[in-house]
This record gives sequence, structure tokens and C-alpha cells, in this order.
Amino acid sequence: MFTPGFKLFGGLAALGLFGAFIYGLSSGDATGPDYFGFVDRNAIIGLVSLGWKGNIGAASGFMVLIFMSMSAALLGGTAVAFRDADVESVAELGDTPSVMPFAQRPTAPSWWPATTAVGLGVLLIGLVMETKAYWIIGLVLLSAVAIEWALTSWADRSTGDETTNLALRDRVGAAFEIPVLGLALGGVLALSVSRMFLWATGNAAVIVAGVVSVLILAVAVLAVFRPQVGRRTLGAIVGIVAVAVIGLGVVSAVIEPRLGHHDEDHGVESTVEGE
Amino acid sequence: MSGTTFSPTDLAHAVVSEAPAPFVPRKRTLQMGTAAFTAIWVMYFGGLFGAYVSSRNTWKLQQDGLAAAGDSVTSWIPDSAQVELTAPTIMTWTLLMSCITMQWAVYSFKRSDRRHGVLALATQAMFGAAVINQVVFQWKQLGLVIDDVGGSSAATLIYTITASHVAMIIVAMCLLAFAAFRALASSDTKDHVDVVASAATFWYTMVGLYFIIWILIFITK
Repeated sequence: MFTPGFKLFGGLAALGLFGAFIYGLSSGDATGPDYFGFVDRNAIIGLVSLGWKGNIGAASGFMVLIFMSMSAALLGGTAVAFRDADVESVAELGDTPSVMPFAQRPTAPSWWPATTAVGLGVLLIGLVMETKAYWIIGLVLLSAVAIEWALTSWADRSTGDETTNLALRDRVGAAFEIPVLGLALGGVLALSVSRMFLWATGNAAVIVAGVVSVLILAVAVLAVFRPQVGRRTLGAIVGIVAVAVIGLGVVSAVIEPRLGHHDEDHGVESTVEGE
Repeated sequence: MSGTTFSPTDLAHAVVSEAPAPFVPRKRTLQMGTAAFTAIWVMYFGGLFGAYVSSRNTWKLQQDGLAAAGDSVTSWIPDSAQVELTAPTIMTWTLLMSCITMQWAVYSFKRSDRRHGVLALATQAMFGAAVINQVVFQWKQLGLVIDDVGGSSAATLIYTITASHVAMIIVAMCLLAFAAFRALASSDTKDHVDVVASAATFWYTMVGLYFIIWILIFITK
């Protein structure tokens, strides 16, 4: 009738409740009016009303023990309601009671738990440091993970074949992953190039624009006229060019964020303020 | 079409139907896992409530001592703060109403009624968003300052407890979104009753914890 899980957590719940009452009595004020000459009346009222009236002694210990009892009661109640999720009782729920269901279906390796941890960390750092960019990045990461993880989880349950599930996941996911990632990469590249233009002056900006354009054109020409070049090689070249452009953009933004007319404007304002 | 070969995973040609049937997941493990997850939250709030009541009692004892010595006393929640019952009471009622819609979602999932199931979950999410909106309104209305010079730790603890509860609502809403996704992606919502029932367990606990916050912080002050 009572499952092992219920016995364990039910016992823990009873222990917590009993412990809370003993703790409340022993840590309370013993100088108040008594029942039977030794039990404080206010303590009894406090314990029975869970602190609403009377005295519960040292409140922190009493509350922690009461909540331990509640947590254990929740677990014990769930355990007995679902028969400890025991495999035989679960099998009886299915169409074929003699077939024991798997505890865990085979799933593909996933980066999403680790990405969730990173997103949560970035979000918390952003909130604590009040850095808007960090918590926005954290929120974007967590939102992306929520969608991707749900999609992966759905695909993992689609068929009994892991390869088919993976292909199904890619087919559905690619419909929005490729456009979104393409837009994001385009945006980052544009931002990086703009940082380089801001860093460069006059003719140097023209030279930078020319070099970047030639690089992009060279990769495109290679892709068209050398079709025998493998997808991986081409992907590696595009990746190296993208990383180089983004890296140069970051470096130029750090070295000299703003040049020229911005500083001149600030100088004019400073002069006016100085007057 | 004869003579054409397709990759076994070429889904453009719908070979999914040739793949083996999916594994039947074991029921009830999710409920047990959710109960453990929910118990973690209950214990966390137990610790917070214990710290709150303990600090409040210590503060009151100190103030009683000062009053006996004839010194001026200050209240646990600074007098400059505006603690009103309207918002917390509305939130309590909103959350109580949400218990009904939560059960509506479970009922609909059990009867393979996808439309009502998703509608119930959307209503549920609206209730959750409404409560978060009310909490933010109340934070602004309270006007509590964390580094209060009076020495009371009430502001820090009240913000910690209420913000933790908002975090719990957000987690509960993520579980609802997960259940809604399963409902929309599945051919039969009946297969996912355990998901929505688990979300319901977490939601009911969240409502119960807010009831304690309502009494502990806003009623008894």
C-alpha cells in the first residue's frame, strides 16, 4: 500500500514537524505563564498557529524545519500517488502491460544545457553590474536555447532512429536558423567594418574598404571557378575571413573608438562651457 | 520514380514513415522529478521566510529595549515606505483564479482537446504576466530603500523574497510554454498529460508560497 518512497519522505516529514515543535518549545521563552507547571502557554499557541499568535522560539530554525516537513510531504505524497514511478506500475498503464518501458529514450548529445548555464551567468552578471548589453545577450541566449532545446527534444521523440531524428530536427530548424544566423553574422560584419572605417582616416578608409571588398570577391571567385574545392575548405576560408574582419573591427574599436569630427565637436562644447 | 535512390534520412521524400516507431517514454518519472524540483523551491523559500521572521523578531526585541530605556524607536518596515494591501490581495486572487485555468489545461490535455488546452495555457500565462506586472507596480509603490540608514534589513529581505517569487513565476511560465509546445507539436495531447500535470504541480506550489508571502509580509507586516 505504502511505497518505499512514501515511507522515506513521509518519515522525514513527520520528523521535521516533530523537530519543529521540540525546537520551538526548547528555544522559546520559558518564563511565561505555564500549562501543567512546565510548558509555556504562549509557546503552545505559537506552535499550533505556526507563529500567527504566541511564541515559536528561534524563528529561523522553526521555519526551516516546518518547510523541510512540507517539502518532504510533497515528495512523499507524489511518491505514493505515482507508485514511486515504479516500472511495473507504469507498464500497467500502457497497452501492453508485459512490456517494460525504457526509463530514458536514446537522445543525441546536446549543447543546450551548457549554453543555458552560460546564458544564465551572463544575464546575472549583467543584472548585478547593471550592464545592459550583458543582460540583453543573456536574455537572447536563453530565448534561443528555449526554442532550440524544445525543438531538439521534440525531434528526439519523433522516431526510433537517431539519424532520422537529427535530420528531422535540422530540416525544421534550418528554416529559421540559417536566416537568423545569416542576419546576425551580416550585422556583426557590418559593425566590424564600420569600426575599421571610423578608426581609419581619409585614404586609409578607402584602402580598408578596397581590401575587404577584394577579399570577399576573391572568396566568391574561388567558389565559382574552383568547384572542386570542398565545402569544408570553403567554409574554413569564409570562417577565417569573417574572424579576421571581426577581429580587426574589435581591435580598431578598442584602439581608437572615435576619431576626427566627434572630438572636434566635444572640444567646441568644452570651450563654450569653459567660457 | 523507379531507379531513384534516396538517402535514408532524405526527409524531402518523407522517409520518416520508414523509420522505426519512437520509443514509448516511461510515464510518471517527470512527475517525480518535478516534485523534487518543486521541493527545492519550497526549501529555498523556507530559508528566506526563516531569515525574515528571525530578523523581524530580533529587530522588534531591540526596539522594545530602546522603548523601555526611553529612546526613540523605529518600525521594522521604515515609515517612509508605503505598504498597501490592494496589490498583494489582487495578486492573491489572480493566482487563485489561475489554479482553475491550470486545472482546465490538465482536463483538456487528458481529453485530447488541443484547442482548449492551448487556450487554457495562454490564459494561464496571461495571469502570470499580470502578477509580474503587479509586483513591479508594488515595488515602485513601496518606495523601500535597500541601504536604509535606519538599520532595518526589511527592504533587502522583502525585495529578495518577492523577486525570488517573480523568478518562480517565470520558471512556471517556461514550463507552461514547454507544455504548449508539446501540445502544438504532438498529434495527441493525451500523450503529454504528464507534462502539463507536472507544470500544474509547480504552479500550485508557487501559488501556495505567494499566499504565505501575502500573510507574512503584507498582512502581519
